[in-house]
Amino acid sequence: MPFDRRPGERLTRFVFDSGQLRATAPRIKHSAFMPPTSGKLSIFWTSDLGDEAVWGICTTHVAPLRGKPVLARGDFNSLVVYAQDLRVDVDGIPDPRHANVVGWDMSSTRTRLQALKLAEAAACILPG
Amino acid sequence: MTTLAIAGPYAARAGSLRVQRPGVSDAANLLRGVIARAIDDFSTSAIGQARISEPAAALQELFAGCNAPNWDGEGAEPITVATLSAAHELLHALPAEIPIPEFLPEPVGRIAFEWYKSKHCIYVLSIGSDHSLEFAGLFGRGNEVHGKFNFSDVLPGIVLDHLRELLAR
Repeated sequence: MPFDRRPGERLTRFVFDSGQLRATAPRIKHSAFMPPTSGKLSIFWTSDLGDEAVWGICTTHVAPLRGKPVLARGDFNSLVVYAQDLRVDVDGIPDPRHANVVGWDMSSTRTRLQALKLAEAAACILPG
Repeated sequence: MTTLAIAGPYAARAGSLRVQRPGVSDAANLLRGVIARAIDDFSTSAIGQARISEPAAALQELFAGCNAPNWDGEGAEPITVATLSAAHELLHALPAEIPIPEFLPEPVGRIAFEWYKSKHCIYVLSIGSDHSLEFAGLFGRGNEVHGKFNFSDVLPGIVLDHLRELLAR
């Protein structure tokens, strides 16, 4: 199934650290969207997937790597990524739905602003 | 004249006062003692607990959880002692009118200070081991800032302006 076959795809970032969650809102903080030094922010392309399937991806591929339970996920639209001059690279590893947000200028202070914008746009969804 | 600068962890006792130009006279030593006692008294007061000791403890806790490589399971850089120290200095530099922020570790090994009013109104200061101070903020739709300073004990005026702007909203 080709990515970006329509204007805007749903993307998902899983959150495991309580410090990245604002419990009162609930919202996901910008630090969850700050890229690592590799410049690849790990996400999943979750368009057309039901809630159970999205959490299933986390259970199968992400939670085992983290070694702790998922606390929330942030769903956001790929158009928000493009508006920040970033790109989505679907690499399909370890799951066909895996992707990275790339194109960050790691030497620029704009990176933090871009992370703020992604956090602003993300809907925080708690596990059922 | 002797100049004293308060530095180091916020829960400072007399021993963590940094003397920039140490005085040798009795008057200088007396002054140093008075200031040290004032800090000690303040940090153990109810206001001081909220303003000094509790944030300092939160920074220490953050450091304890993030001082090893890959603390986030995604290849994060460790928070170093130098970064922690710089964060304490930044905490010291916040004027009393500015609320104590939340502290967040960032995957590039920096510590972020975050002031949040709403998802559209948020300001982040981030400090690194080299005392570079990076800021980014949203002040409602269409209003956003980002930039960088070198931090040396005093908060840059533009950062204070940003914080006052955020708090006024």
